[in-house]
Amino acid sequence: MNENMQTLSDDVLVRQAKSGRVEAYAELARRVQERIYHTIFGMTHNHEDADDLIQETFMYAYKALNNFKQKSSFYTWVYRIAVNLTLNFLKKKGREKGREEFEDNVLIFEKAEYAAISPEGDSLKKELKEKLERAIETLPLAYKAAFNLVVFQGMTHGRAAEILGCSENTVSWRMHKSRKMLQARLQPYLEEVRYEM
Amino acid sequence: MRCKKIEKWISDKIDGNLSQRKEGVLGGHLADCASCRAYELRLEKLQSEAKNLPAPAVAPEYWQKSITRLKENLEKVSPSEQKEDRLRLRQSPAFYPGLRLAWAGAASVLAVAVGLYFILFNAKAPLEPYHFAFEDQVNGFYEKINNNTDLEAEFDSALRASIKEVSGESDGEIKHLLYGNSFFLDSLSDEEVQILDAEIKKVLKI
Repeated sequence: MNENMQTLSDDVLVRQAKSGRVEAYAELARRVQERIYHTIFGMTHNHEDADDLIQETFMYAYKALNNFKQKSSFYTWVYRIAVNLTLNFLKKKGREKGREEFEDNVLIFEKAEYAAISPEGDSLKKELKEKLERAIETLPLAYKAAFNLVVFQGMTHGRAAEILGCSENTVSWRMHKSRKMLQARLQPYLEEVRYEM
Repeated sequence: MRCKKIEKWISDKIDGNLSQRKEGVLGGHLADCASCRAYELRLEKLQSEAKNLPAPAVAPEYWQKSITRLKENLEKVSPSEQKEDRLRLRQSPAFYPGLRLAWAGAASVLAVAVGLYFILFNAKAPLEPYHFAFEDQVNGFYEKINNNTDLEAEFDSALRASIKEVSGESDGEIKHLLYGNSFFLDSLSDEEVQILDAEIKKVLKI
């Protein structure tokens, strides 16, 4: 990587990339690729898919670069493309295998069926991790995207809203519903927590 | 203060998204409500476990290889190709353009339901300042009625039935439209948004 490139700001690199300088664009991609990869992986749970999608994201963004008005940061803009492409990919591939398990919980949480599990013994924590990963994986896509950005990427609702193209209130609502669904699914494990009544 | 509303506030608090005023109210409620305290503890544990989930293991050399591969692909892109893709950006195929009518139908139901809200609760002001966003309106409305399970279920059922009638989609797909298609609104043209807006204003007489 050209050392000079590393000292340039994102704005300068974007301008150079717009004029067709591949090295400038590659440097921009290098700066954000790790965070974007983790977000994509968090939604696909598959390295090969994440690998393809990150390439697709950067190619898509490059081809659309002249449309980027720099009102937001390059990172936010590419992030949004990555999330859109990943959601579209998952829809097309029909990978929402567990969606049905959760759908009835979205509005009528009381109907949630708890998994038939008896969390006992030393393997409890490991089992909870596995169940939690699976439960997050099967959240409805829009909820999974919000949960990923807020919990794993540590974004504020406002920032996540900017990337997801919705309002802060919608992100807040999706987070609430995601947690309701997850805690309903994992309640036998989470109730191991003791509290004063 | 109903526990359903409190549960959402607990979620907001975990994300650092709750106002000071609401935090005060929340604290007061939690002091008196064991069930909500238990819920808060479960969510805190959930949050902590989620944050501790291991990140995917990626070989250190992967990142450089990925950039090298990207550069190879970039070299193949011509300037004219850049322009073509720019034109397509706003028309991503996964935005269900064929189902816009379904949402327009749903908007009518939404409008009726919102009207019902005003009648039932003698509300005097619109739910939100009227810069229209359909999903926000739906979510805002659910928030307003979430203390009334019957009304919530009724509204949900009416919304689904309306979409089904107009689109002929399966129940599963309708649920997906309602809860899984966060980018649908981005695909609407200004004209379509105006139609939806007018439909709701007509029923609300505003």
